[in-house]
Amino acid sequence: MTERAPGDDTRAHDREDVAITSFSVGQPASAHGNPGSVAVPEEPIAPLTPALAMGPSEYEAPAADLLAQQAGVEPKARSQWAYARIRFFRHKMAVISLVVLFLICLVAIFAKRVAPYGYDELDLFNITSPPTTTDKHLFGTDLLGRDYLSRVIYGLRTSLWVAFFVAFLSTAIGTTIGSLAGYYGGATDNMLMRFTDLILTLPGLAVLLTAATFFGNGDPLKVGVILALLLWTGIARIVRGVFLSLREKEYVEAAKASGAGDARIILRHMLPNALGPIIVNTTLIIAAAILIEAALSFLGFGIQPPHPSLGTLIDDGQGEGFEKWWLVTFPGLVIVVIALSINFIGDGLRDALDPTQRRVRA
Amino acid sequence: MLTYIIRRLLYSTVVLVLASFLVFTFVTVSGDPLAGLRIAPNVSELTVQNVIDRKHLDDPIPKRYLYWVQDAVTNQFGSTLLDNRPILPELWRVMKNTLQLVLIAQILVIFFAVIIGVYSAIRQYSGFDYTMTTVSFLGLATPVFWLALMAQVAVVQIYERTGHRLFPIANLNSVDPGTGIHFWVDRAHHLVLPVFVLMVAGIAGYSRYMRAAMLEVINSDYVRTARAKGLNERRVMMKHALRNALIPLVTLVALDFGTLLGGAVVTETVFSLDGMGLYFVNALFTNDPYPVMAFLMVTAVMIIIFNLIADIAYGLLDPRVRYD
Amino acid sequence: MPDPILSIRDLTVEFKTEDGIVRAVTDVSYDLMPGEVLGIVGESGSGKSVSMLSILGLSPQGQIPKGEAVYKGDDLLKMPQKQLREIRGGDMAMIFQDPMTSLNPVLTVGNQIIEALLVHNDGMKDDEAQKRAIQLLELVGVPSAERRIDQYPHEFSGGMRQRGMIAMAIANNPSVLIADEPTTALDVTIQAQIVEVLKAARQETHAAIVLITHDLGLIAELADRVVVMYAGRVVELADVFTIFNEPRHPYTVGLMNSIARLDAEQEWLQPIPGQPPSMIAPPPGCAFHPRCTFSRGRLPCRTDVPELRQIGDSAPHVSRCHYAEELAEAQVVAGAAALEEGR
Repeated sequence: MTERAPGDDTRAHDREDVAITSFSVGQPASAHGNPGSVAVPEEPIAPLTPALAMGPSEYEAPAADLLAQQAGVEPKARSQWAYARIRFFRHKMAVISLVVLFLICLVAIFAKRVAPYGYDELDLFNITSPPTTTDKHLFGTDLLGRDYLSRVIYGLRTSLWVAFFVAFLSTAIGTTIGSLAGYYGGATDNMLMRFTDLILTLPGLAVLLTAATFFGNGDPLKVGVILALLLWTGIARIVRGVFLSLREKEYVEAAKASGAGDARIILRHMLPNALGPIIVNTTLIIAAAILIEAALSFLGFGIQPPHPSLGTLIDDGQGEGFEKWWLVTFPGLVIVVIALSINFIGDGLRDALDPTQRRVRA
Repeated sequence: MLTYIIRRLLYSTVVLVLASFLVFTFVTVSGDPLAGLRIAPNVSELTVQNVIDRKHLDDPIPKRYLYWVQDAVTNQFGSTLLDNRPILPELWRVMKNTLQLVLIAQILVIFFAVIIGVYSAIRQYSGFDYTMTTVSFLGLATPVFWLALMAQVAVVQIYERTGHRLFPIANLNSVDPGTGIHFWVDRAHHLVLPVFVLMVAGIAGYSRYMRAAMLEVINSDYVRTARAKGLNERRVMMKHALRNALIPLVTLVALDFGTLLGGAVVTETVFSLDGMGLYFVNALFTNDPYPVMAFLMVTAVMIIIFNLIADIAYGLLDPRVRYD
Repeated sequence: MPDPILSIRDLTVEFKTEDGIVRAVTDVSYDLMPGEVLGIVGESGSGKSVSMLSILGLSPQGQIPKGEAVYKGDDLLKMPQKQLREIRGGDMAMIFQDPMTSLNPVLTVGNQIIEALLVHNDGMKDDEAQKRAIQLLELVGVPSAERRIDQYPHEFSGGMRQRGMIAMAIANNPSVLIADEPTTALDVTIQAQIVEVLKAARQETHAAIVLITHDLGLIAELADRVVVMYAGRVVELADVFTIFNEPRHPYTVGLMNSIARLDAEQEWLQPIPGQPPSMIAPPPGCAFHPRCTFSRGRLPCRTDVPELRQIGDSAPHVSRCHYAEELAEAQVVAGAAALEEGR
């Protein structure tokens, strides 16, 4: 069975493709055009029996469900997304990471309930104490006696929020630019790609720092926007690639011939194909965003007080000296855990959504 | 090929000029470098005006841009905002320091990453492979600045408990490093931790890439043909597989070399190393646009040059690619 | 009767996949006579390539739980690797399907041919190998061989690349040449040329050729005997005339019905209904029965795997069908009817 791109359906209401797990049917010899010169034996040959020919006459065609059964197909057709889901759940690490990330998100959302203390709550009797189980100071306290666990929780909430925002925004920008470049091609493509290359030529961190310094920082939203404006290029490239390869396909031409407008073609026919790689890349951007934002905030250029951030926590912690190791360790560990989970999830997604699964062929 | 190079150089020059103008405009309009000075209590109007005159800060942007370019080209890359120090000597000094750090790190990274990546691919799904994959994921998930800090914390904690000072945790040299070989030994000692920190992320990324490239090659048809000819595994891997798998890696390495100079910003900051990154960050802190622009221009040039080198290398290594 | 040069018995090859164990090849047995062309026909997934690849040790993921492949007295499957390597590319050589991807793109064609020569001829010197490589290219019909020797695969056209592969395969005068879909990736017009090259190669080396293909026209042109494979098993084996004119397995009949032939009267081209079976969960009994218009759902077809039996008593002709004799009769009847009707 030749590959069919998702969205390549004639039933307008049915989004889902029937994907049958079977090996490709070998092409009958006739598909290759002339069978070559066939040796012609002497006697006239009986036509290979009308009796064995198919047809409604005396012999019934094999029962349909027999056919289905022998093809190894379950009677119920599964959608493409269902198969992706199955493949994803085969990845132990990805599934574990998903659970971990989910829990972390829960903690972030319900921060007020989960954190034992407030972000700024002082406890001057317990200044800079190491982690301990008394008073629930599981991560210790900082120089003002603020509970570190709570601070980390609030910090992680902001960092997560910014990361998701950046991913969302840069995906939006990248998809738009990429699809326009890929769909229209030619001059538009050229121009947009030059622009993308220009952004790529700029040394990332340096530009970020410069932008942050001079455009104002401190506010998570602003930081998010600046990050997004620099991280969209990867997605743009990928979407463009997918679109360029799809432009030539017949169903696009067919859609155009039937009068579909550009926007409709892009959105309904071409974009769903790019969805897989887009999703994978978006997850990667989330991880990248967390790391970069933390670095920026650590250096003082990103999120600043009063907004909580894991990066600033580490920065403050650094100032206290390395004997008070918990001030630096815990926020960083949280970052590592989040980034690690996202990487595993991204890996699982890539395997799940990648259409080029290697199959065993005889 | 030669015409291609010349064409690219011309094109790059144009891009460079454009970029310089963009950089200049961007940095200039995005803030008033004198803001801090203006509100400082002891600074007179006259002083402020002096600075303005010296740097032509009153003129329209295109004119200022030209002044800057002229300054940069003829006068040691211009001078700092407030105390008029020439930029070039300082820039050169910090560039040398950074180069030491990043070159050593990059060479070690490539060495280890290739070995790890190739071996992981040949022994796919083995214990080694899984371990390395997990380690790589960890490496990619660890923020560099935090790793640097943890390295310092570890050294300090070990010192506190055992009295043993493993490695210096800051600066390029000790206070009195001596001369000649002693100086360099001291420098090497100080660079151990920073190099290590830089290596972690680098190896993590490159080894995955190498593994992926190698896997694709190992499963290719021509490797199967090589085996079908009766070649032993070692020759199949070395002559047929590796040679093909290295091509994309070479291009990647060449491209990354362009960003090396600007890539140690965080490491230098945490370890207080007198390099380009720290230079840049300090200039940002003091709101001095001239060193900032000098840094951005230098890194832009490096990136453009190494992009070109990467393309040329690719053309040399892969006979399918021919530029005309 | 001369001895077979390659003798395969009960070969079974399995692959472990995410979804379970796939039995790509089951109980396959056939002989290869010296100098003959043995065609192996089947769809993708029938196991025709895997059986050959496994014998030569070129299918690393394939497990061979049982079977033997005796070449000149030695079982290839039990041989030490070093000895197998000497045979690979020397006595037994292989030509692959897609010459574009089967040749190393960063090495010159000459380099790759010379490599094949040097590996199997210890004493050969470089310039000798160079001369021989040019000779080989000329033999397979590559023009300006001296110049071409230093060119890269992408500078060759598709047909020339395949010629280059053939040159590489015959470099060491193999006794067995395995051609895995040699024309499938090529243009139709080029296919005919490659057939000629294969004939020339055969003449030069007197090698036996195993021709793996799904192109029945190629089989008709080149093969002496034909093995028909389906779902990993041999379902029919006979000489080429018999296969085309007196097929005794419903699958073979289906194949013959599905191609256009100049020598037979056909009303319609009949594709075989259904899909090839899943190799993870093959149907019980005869693997072909769900698609068999001849079986009509009869019980033995659904429960028992048919044995490979000799059909008729004239020439060697085996078929794996419970009702092969019935099939023969039906054809004779229909043939007679057609004779009455038409002529």
